[in-house]
Amino acid sequence: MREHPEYVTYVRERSPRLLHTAYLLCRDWALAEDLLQTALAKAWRAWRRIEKDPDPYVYRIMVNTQASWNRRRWRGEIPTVDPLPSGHTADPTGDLDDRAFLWAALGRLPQGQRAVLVLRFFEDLTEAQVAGILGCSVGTVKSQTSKALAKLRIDPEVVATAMKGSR
Amino acid sequence: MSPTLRDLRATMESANAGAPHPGDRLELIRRRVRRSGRLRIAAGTVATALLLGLAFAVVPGPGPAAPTAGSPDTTFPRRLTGLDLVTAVRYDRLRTTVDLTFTPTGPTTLISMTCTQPLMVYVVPPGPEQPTVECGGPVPGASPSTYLPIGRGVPLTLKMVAVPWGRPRQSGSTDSRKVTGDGWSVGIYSGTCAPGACDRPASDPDTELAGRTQIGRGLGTADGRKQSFSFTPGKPTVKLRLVCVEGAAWAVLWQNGVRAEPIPCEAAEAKGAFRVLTVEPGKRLDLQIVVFPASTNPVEDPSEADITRLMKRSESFGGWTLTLHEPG
Repeated sequence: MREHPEYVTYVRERSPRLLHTAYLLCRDWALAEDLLQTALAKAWRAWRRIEKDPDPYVYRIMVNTQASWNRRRWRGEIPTVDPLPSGHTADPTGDLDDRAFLWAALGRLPQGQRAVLVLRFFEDLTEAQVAGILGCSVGTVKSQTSKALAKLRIDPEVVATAMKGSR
Repeated sequence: MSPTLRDLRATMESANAGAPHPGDRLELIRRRVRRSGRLRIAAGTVATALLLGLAFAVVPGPGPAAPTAGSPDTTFPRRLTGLDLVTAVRYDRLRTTVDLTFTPTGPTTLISMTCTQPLMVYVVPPGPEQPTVECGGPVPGASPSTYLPIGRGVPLTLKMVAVPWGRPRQSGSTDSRKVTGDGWSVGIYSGTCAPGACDRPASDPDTELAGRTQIGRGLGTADGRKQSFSFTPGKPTVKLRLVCVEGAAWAVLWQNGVRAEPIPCEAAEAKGAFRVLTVEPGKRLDLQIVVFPASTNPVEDPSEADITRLMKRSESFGGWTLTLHEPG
């Protein structure tokens, strides 16, 4: 198995961030690791074609693979109401509590809308880039972003937290 | 206050607590790539086999007509060149594929033809050989004989097609064994070829190992892993037989740590590959063997480093059986 030095460098340098992205998509570290390795293994096969800019290809594989896993019953996604993973302590400002509810609300978004938010606001991609990755129009990205943000704003738990914070 | 984009970004950025970090992700990905490569090869093989099967089943082509059955031919002698008659069948049609199934009774099998006009009979036996049989006349044994290197006891089907060859022969001979009309006959003889009686002794395991006693046996998978055997020979030579099946292809043998030439056991098929080892009677002998699958290409004149490299990369396909035999 021959591999390109650029591929090795790419995996070593980018995989921590890509793992984070994968985790935001599937919300499970084990699945995220699986998703990332699947995407990088596919990228290895297509490396000659994508070596100039591999990120969009890897994002697209992760989003599509995650979507296909979701279609399978045995990987059926169970939205969790658990707050952020361990490592957080009591926060007198309440910021972390807000994030926990926002994190839970993110988990309740449909997969496609969550993917749009992750690519737009975590990876800081433009609408055109997200449209290219997801294989849809820029208008669809805009509408999905708008709907996802609206759902987050009217999420009952987020609203309740916001009201509590405003008192 | 409703959440802002800043809150959203902060939430997503802070969601990496507890992230596991495997020791070497690159190595895990390499394993995945290798595994998917094997799956692709297997899937491709199955798909090709299915497509070929479908093509042959569905596509009506100008291929040969359906095999035709023949009728028993009693004109062949019971014995020919020291071999016993197994079956004799007469066919009436030329340029038509016929199937003939028989069970060899010995390590040597002989095909004999009779015909009223010169024919060339194309015989398709299993294995790499594709013999053609020249039929020159109506008398069994008069035409050049064709031997098949096949073993005994296993039913075998030959596919045959006879086509005219050369000038037609005048019929009307008074020989009682002649074949009349456009027909042709095939007689199958089988048995043990006596030296001087038949032209080609068979390469049969039973013949190769005649007079020898089996002293050891080992089997394994063709996975590039080394297996060791130790025993104390009682005679100055030990004959080794290595049979590779289902994808096992070639082997490397070490005798007391000294590596011998690679053994191409797949080419030897079910007969097995034979090697004679010169040993010291009464002194312990250590044998080590590594069998590789066909997917691992042999290296010409390999070094120990080459073998070690191939062992690390080898896949696992097929099995092998090694038997050791001493003179009786």
